[in-house]
Amino acid sequence: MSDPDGAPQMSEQDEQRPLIGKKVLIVEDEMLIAFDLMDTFGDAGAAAIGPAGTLEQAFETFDQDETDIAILDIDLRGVSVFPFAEALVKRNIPIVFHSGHGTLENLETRFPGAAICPKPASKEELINKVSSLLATGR
Amino acid sequence: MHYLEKELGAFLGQPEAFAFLDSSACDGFWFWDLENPENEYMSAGFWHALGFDPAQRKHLASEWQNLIFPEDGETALQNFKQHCDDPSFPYDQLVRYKTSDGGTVTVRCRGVAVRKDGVPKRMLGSHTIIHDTRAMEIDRQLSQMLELSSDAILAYSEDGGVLRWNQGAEAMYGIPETDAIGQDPNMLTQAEFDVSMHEIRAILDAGKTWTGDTKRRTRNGKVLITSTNIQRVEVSGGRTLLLQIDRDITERFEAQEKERHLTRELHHRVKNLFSIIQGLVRLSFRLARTNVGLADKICSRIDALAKAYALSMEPENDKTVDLHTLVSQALVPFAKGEKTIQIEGDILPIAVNDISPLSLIINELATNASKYGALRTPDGRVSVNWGQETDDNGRVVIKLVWSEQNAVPEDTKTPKVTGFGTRLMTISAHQLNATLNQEWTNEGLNCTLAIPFSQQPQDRIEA
Repeated sequence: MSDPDGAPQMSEQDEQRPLIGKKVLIVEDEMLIAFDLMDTFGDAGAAAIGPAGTLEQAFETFDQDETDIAILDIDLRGVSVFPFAEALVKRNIPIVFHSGHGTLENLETRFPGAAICPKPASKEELINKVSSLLATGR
Repeated sequence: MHYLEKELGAFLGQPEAFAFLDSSACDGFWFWDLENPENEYMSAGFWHALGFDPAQRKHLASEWQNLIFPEDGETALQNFKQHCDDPSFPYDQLVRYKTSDGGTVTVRCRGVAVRKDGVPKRMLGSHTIIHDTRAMEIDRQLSQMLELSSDAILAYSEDGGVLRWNQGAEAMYGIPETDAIGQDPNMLTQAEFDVSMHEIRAILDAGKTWTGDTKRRTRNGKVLITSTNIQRVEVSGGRTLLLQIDRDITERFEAQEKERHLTRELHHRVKNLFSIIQGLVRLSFRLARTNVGLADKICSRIDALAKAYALSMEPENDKTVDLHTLVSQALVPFAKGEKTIQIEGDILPIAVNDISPLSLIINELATNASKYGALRTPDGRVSVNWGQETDDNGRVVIKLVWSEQNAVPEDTKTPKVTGFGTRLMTISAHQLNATLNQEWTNEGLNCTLAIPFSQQPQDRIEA
């Protein structure tokens, strides 16, 4: 993320970067949200991968060795992300669901290890959820 | 003699004793003068029982003779004659009277002749109403009314099944009464209660009415939602019956479900919109060259998103919106004169999901032209054209061309679209799966956008 000349100095740049070296896969169909997530995790020191805007792109972009954790929107233009999420669970890759579908009843039972970050989520909320999920080694 | 019998004998001599007998012990007395047979006293209780005002009566034998059913009057007369001849022959029969309102009462009429030297002089009698067919009539009317109801009304016993199954039930479940008789109605309609039978029984055992929504099926499998009331009533001999009324509320239920679904969907959209705006604001800040004018830029982008959203919410734009409408609306804030911006293209459908990114791209192009390009000068012109094409990869695309003319020459020397404007256009093009090419000429910016024909968006996931 190259900053243009004369960009206002942002305080985040001086903060510690808790996700250094972590590879975060972004699956999100709204590109404004997706690129903001890319930048947010980039600012936190992570290597943001993606964004994948459809289920097909998610499978295409996914590389087991290049993914420490995945941020998943649930509804990808009317297609459920769950098949991809199940593939991640099989490979023990932790998941943070980032969705407006905050009340999907079966989410917690279907993906017991996953974190849920309802939209709209603050930067801190997202980074904290990702950090703690990575810390527990799930 | 028992002292109470003695007291009672004395009491019967009092006027209030007669009033008691007349109103409470039986349904009236009559006392007939056999020496002047047209005179017959009939008590107030007698007339009240038949629905007449006693004050209007003249105590003539003809008064009752006009009300009694003729054949019953004949029988009574026969019995009267025999009783007069033979005191051991009882004067005791059932007779029917017409009542004031046209109904019928069946009365047990008993009497005894008062004799002097063995000769009957008076006849004393009493009436006891055995059966009031007026009540019967109302029962039958009520029963007919049950048939008029479009609700399913049924009576059944817990061990013997259905005893009564009205026409409403026949129509609602498509099951004739003959097929329902003897069956368990809730098995018959495949009822799915939202509570256990145990809970329902507990409520009925407490003598209360159970009320609840129940899913049922008609004979041909159609699912109904009924609002059901069940009550247990006691009938003769300690037996009980269950009375049940089912009202079909399927339509209401479905409307409520739809409303709940729409509310959830709206909730989801709003949260998503907040998230998009959050992304827009954060990206704008991150890539801004300067904070000067940043608020205006962000507001202009939010405005573009809001317009795109409004367009997607128009009822006629259920799945797609016409490209011309989209472009015209996005450019409304920038059009200065009639000829400044020319829009021309085929009628082409844009999927609702693509409205926002396309609107944002057009908003950025126009913002840029207003600041640095053709829309900054009085002679500047912008034309927006599009058409359908097949690109090099064989994809069918909508090729949209933005071209500026007569921009101020010195302003065109270096590209001015930088920072977030470019990023936003790139991101939006990414969302559209489109290719974006920008070229600066002496006349201003030329931008070509190739958007693949979107698949029809599917419905949102059920939440």
